[in-house]
Amino acid sequence: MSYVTFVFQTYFGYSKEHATKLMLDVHHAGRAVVSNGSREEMERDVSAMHGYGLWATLQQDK
Amino acid sequence: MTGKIKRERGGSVGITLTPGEAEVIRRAFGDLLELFDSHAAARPVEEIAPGVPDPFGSPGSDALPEDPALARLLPDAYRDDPAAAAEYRRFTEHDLMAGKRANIAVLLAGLDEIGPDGKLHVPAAQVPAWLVALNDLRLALGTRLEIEEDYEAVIAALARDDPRLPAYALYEWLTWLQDSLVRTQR
Repeated sequence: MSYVTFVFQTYFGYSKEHATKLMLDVHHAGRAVVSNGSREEMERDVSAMHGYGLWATLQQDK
Repeated sequence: MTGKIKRERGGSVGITLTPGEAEVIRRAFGDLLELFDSHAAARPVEEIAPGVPDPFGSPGSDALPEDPALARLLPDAYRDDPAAAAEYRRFTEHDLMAGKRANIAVLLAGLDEIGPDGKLHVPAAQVPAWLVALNDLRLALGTRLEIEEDYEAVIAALARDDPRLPAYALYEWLTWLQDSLVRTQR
C-alpha cells in the first residue's frame, strides 16, 4: 500500500481497491476526482488533503 | 542507512534507528519547523492563546508562500480562482500549519523515547502522525532538490563527491522509512 492509498482509505473510508485505483489515476494522469459534494464539504476535504500533504484543489463542475 | 520497522502485537510499530539516523531526523524536522516559523513571523496571526488564532482578529496571509517548499506544503485550494484561493488561505493556513507542527511534535516526542538498543515503539494511534510528518518532510526536501520521477537515475549519476549527495541520500532514506511504515498499515 502506498501513502496516497493509505490517505484515501483513512480519510474517505474507501475500499482498498477504490483507493488504489484513485492512487493510480493520480500517478498516471497527474490528477483524479476523489470527492464530490457541496462547496462547504469540498473545502473540508481539500483542507484534510492538504493536512496529509496531498495537493488537492477544488473545482466547480461546469 | 538501514533500519528495521516492524508491526507489533496490538498495532504499535517498532522502529530501530541508529543514533545517527535519529539525529538526522531531528535536525531535518528542526529545519522544517524553522521554515514554518519564518512564514508565521512574516505574516503574524493574532492569537488569543498560543496556537489559537483570534476568531475576530486580523486574518492570516492570503498569498501562496514564495518559498517553493512551503508553497508545496501550503498549496492553493483553488486552481483557477485567485480570489477564492486567497480567501480560503486567509482562514485555513494557520490551522493547516498548526496541524503539521502537531504531527512533527508527536514524531519528535517519540524519538526521545528511543531505548539504548535504538528501538522505539510508535503506538498505533500515533502512526498516522508519523506518516504525515515524514511525508511533509519528504515533500519539502523533494521540492528543494527539485526531485522528479527519474530521481533514482539522477542520484545514480551524481559524482561521489557531489555536494548534493547527502540530501539526496536523506530523501531516499525518508522515502524508504515512510514506505516501510505505511506497509505496516494494512
